[in-house]
Amino acid sequence: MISTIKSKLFQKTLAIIVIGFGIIATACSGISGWILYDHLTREYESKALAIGNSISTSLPELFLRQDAATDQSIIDQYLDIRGVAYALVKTEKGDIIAHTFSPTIPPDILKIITTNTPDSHTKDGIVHPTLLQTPLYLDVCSPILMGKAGYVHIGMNMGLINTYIVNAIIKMQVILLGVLFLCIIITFFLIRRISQPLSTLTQYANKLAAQHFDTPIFISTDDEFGMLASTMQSMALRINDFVHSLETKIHDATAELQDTSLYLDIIVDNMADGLLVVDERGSVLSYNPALLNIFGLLDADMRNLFLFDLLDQEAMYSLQQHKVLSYDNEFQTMNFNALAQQGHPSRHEVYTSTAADTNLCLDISMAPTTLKCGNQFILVMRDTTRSKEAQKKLEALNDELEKNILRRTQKLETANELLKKEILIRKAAEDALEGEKELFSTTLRSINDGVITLNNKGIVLFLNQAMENLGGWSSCEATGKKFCETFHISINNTPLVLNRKEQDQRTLQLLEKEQDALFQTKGKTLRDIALRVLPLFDKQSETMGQVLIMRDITEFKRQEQEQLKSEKLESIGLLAGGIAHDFNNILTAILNYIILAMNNPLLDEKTHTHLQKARKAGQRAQQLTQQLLTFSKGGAPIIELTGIRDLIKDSITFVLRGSNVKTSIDISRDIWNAEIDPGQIAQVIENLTINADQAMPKGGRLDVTCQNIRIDKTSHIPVQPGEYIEITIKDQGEGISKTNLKKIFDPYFTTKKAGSGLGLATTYSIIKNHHGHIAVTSEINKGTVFSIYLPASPLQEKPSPPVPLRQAIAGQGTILLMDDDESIREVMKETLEFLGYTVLTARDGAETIAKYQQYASPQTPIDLVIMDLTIPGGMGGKEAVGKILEIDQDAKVIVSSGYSQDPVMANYESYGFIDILTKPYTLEEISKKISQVLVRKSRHRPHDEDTPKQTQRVQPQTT
Amino acid sequence: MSAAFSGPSQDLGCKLYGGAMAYIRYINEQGGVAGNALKLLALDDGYNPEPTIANTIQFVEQNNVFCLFNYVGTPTVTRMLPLLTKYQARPLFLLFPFTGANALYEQLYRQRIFEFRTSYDAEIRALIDMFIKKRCSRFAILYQTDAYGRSGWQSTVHALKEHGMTLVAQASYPRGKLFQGSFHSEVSLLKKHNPDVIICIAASQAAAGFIRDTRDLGLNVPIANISFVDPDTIASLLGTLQPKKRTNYLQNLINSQVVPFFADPSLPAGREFMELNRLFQKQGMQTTMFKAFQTCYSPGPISFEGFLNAKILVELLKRMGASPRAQDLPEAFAKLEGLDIGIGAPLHVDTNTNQIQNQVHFITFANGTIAPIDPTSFQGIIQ
Repeated sequence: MISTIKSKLFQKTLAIIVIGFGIIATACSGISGWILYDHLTREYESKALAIGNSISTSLPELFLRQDAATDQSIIDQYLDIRGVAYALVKTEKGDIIAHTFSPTIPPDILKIITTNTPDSHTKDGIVHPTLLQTPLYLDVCSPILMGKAGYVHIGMNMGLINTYIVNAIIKMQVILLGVLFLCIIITFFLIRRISQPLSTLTQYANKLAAQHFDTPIFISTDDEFGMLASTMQSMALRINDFVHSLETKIHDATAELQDTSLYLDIIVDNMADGLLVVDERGSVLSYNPALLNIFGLLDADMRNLFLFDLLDQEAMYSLQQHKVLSYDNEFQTMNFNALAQQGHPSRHEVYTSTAADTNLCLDISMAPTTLKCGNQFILVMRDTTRSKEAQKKLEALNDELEKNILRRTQKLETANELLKKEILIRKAAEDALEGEKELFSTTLRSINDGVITLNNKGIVLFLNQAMENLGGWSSCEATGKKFCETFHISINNTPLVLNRKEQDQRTLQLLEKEQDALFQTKGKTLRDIALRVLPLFDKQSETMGQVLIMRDITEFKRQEQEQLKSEKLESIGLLAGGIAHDFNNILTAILNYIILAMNNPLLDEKTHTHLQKARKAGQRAQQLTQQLLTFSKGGAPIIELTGIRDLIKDSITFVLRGSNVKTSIDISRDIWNAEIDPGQIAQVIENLTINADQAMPKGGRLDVTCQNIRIDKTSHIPVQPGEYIEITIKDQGEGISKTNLKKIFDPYFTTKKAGSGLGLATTYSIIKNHHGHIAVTSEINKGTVFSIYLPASPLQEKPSPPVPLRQAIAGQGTILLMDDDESIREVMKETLEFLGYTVLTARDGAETIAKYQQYASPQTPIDLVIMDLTIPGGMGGKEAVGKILEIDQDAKVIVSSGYSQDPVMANYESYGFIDILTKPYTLEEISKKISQVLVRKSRHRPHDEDTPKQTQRVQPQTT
Repeated sequence: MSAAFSGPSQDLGCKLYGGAMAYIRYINEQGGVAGNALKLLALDDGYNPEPTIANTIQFVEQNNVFCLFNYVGTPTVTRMLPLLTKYQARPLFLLFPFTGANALYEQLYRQRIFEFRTSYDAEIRALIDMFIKKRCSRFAILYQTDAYGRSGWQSTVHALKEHGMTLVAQASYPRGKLFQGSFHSEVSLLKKHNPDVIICIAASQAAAGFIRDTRDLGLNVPIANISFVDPDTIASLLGTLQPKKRTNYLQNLINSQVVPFFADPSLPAGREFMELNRLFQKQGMQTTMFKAFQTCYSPGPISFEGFLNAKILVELLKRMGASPRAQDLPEAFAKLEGLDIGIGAPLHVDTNTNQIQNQVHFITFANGTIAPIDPTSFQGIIQ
């Protein structure tokens, strides 16, 4: 309840009610007072008049008697009338004969009485009663018998009116007060309904503010207060949690801070350097014990101290000079410079004397800092006095030392010089030794021969690198063990035992000479070695061990054998070559004569046919000789853009004539032309076909495919990126074993009973010379696939159908022909003359040059020279061409040879030839070639546009 | 009898009644008058006029009294007088009222009223004459503010006027004021004008209070009261006060009386009165009628007057035969001429005014009681 009373809401409402009522009360009072006054006044007036009248008109004769008692008894009665204050009777003359006053008539009323007398002399003679109103009284004077019998005064108590008004107002106020009270009580209860929960909430809020978050709240009414209460409660809980967490954090932070603060305090207190904090004016704010120590002061001394009290005048001036502060000694004031205030920490060395007259040297570090309370400066002072002194002493000592040192140094230097020389000598010796060592070890390392050093007992002392490589044992593995434990060497099937003592001299002497032996490596392989065993002598020339020197000659032996083989082959080849060469020439003659014979118009059909067959056979013979030549010489291919289709078909059909092998040839429709030497490739195809055929003795199928393929860097085929054609030759034969697969391309490797072992080797070398690739896959009893990759070109080949005989091109000009073979000379002469040319012949290069010189002239030029490449026992075309070109730089020289693989044939241009002819050549071939060449400009002049690309492509790299 | 048996003038009523009853009982014990017992009906009017009127009406219409007797008070009597006219057919006579108001002398009522006591006017004149003889020149008056007081005031004014004087001061007090009331304002008013003597037209209680306050305020001039004031009351009221205040309040007082001194042994009526009183008190006269009676009644001038009133009434009745009729009263009254009832002189009756001639007597106080004063010498009074 008290809370409600105390509630501001209630108080405010109360105030409003009270004020309202106050206004109402005042208004009511005022109005009613006025009304009452007005009415009562009028009432009294009428009453007074009535009384006066009644008295004066009722018994006038009584008054005539002027009997005071009677008058008194009459007027006494009227005193009872409410409002009558007094009654009074006076005579006509004005003497008062009866009145109702005690103790006496008041003077003011007396005045009224005397004043208020009607005038007896009126206009109409009628004397009326008169009224006189004073604040206190209303006096009515009624004349009795027009005044002749006297007058009666009735005084009405105006004060009574006021009393009545006051009473009425008071009553009204009381009632209003009562109502007010009622209202207050009602308000009280109404507000309590509001303010109680409000104050509860306020209390609750206060409790929350006082951080009692756990206090319960008991408002559960289903109204706004209830909602507010519950909201506040939940809010309180959240705040509580928050506060708790905050508290925890604060606690932690505070603990940390305390620790830090403590830590800092400890640091400051225990610092060896003095710490001084001053404000802008130099007033000392704080300091640490070390500072006191420096200046020899106590805590008490530090009160109201300034910087200039600590430091002496000179020090202050010094600081002033350093532009740190400005100091006035007279007024004992100082001020830090603005620069110092804003600037960076600075360091100054200051000499000062303390109060106790000790001189100090101080190293002062000064740092300005701006805090909330103003600018402060933190000075760290280090007493460097002692250190300075020490420094000075040190310096003195130092000087002395230096002198001493100088002296000693000189002595030392001389000694040093001597030492140096010695050292140099030593060093040289060491270097020499080192060099020797190095030389020795390098030599040892370099020796490809394996060296084993043994001691007298036959224990291995040393292995060199080469020995390690040769034997497979590392130095660690072998050294320290007996020689025979590790190494097994046999000479002529006798194991080598090395035991110096036991071995007889003869054996040893023998061993000193190099012998062939067999050596078993760690991998249990046997190697052929050349072995020497030498004794080791010490200084005293006593034997201290043995040295074994062995050289792996396995490869050497193999190579020896190979060499023998190849020499054999070469000699065979030479022989074959020579035969082939002669044979080739003879074939050329045969072929040409056949051709000539075929040209005879009188020839009959049968004979023509026979001659044709003969030609074909002759051509085949050419091919064979070509093969032989190819093999024997292994020459470079003469590349030309060739249509592969016919080549493959022809080769295969040629080889498989009469075989029970079925062929399936699948060549891409748009197959590119191959940049190949057709003869050689034909050889290859034939070779592979033959192998396939032989692999399928009972018959089978041979699948040949040919397709374009672009090979790029990522391809596994080891060729230059570019365009290639891929030829695959697949058989269903017996296949090749894995082990043999590695060796098939090796020369002299063959599984055939009667094979030379050269076929695939030749094939391989041909493909390699073409910068192509050959690969093989095979499985036993399943078959073998050879894949050949040959450089190709999308360009169209120059169609070169065999020129029918009758299309042999005639021409004009002078041709100089050189060949060592007379028959060739003869036939060629005839052939060319047949074509219309004038022919000169020569036997060798020298004759050719002579004839050229002799014959060639501007009027009678030699249009063309055809020279054989090699002339056994004479100058060949190769040498002659140069000479001829010297004679006539415009000379056109064609080189001809049966050795198409000859590098000269491949690089004819570089030798000066303008073109080549391969023997054997047909009439058509030569005629065409001649006509081509004659048209061409000379070698001296640039090529015509016919063959730019081809020329580029066909330049094979000389290896 | 309608009188004040309660209120401020209850002494008067009780004493008058007591005095009258003493004789009436004696007479009744003697066998009455002509064999008729006398019955005195008494009603209290409290000294207020309305009850007086009502009582009178009751007496007449209900009690059919022979006559009205021993009424007390001027205002009361003055107001009931018209009833005499009202019931004049009966006729209704008022015998021996205890009042001296002039109104009684109005011709209208004179025929109906028989008076024994002299008027207040006569008393006042006698007093003033005495005081003037004693060389008093400054007269002040205290009077009750009602008809009684006013008539006394008028008498004083006229009396002084005849001597060529006027009042030097006058004060009034309201009717009903008791002894306990304060009369300081009245005294101050009078004292201001330095009177030589104060004429007091008051009721007994007020008179006593006034005397006290006058003496307390240091005004020691003689104070004269008239017969309406009961001297016993004065004596008793002021007597109790005296020991406390160590002032002799009962000095320098003089009261005028309409009956001779009751305790005068030379008066046969007095002796008779005292004797009867003794008897009265021995018998333990009890009356349950009025509460105040026991305390108020005491022999004194008032009760003596009541006694004498009764005595005269009996004499009247004696002269009216066995069955007296009211209308015969005037005739009987006339026959009273020359009667000696033991008051020292034979009665002289004025049939015109229906008044028995009477003297004014004076008493004073000594030794705390009433003491007579020689009318001629006034010795011991005025110093």
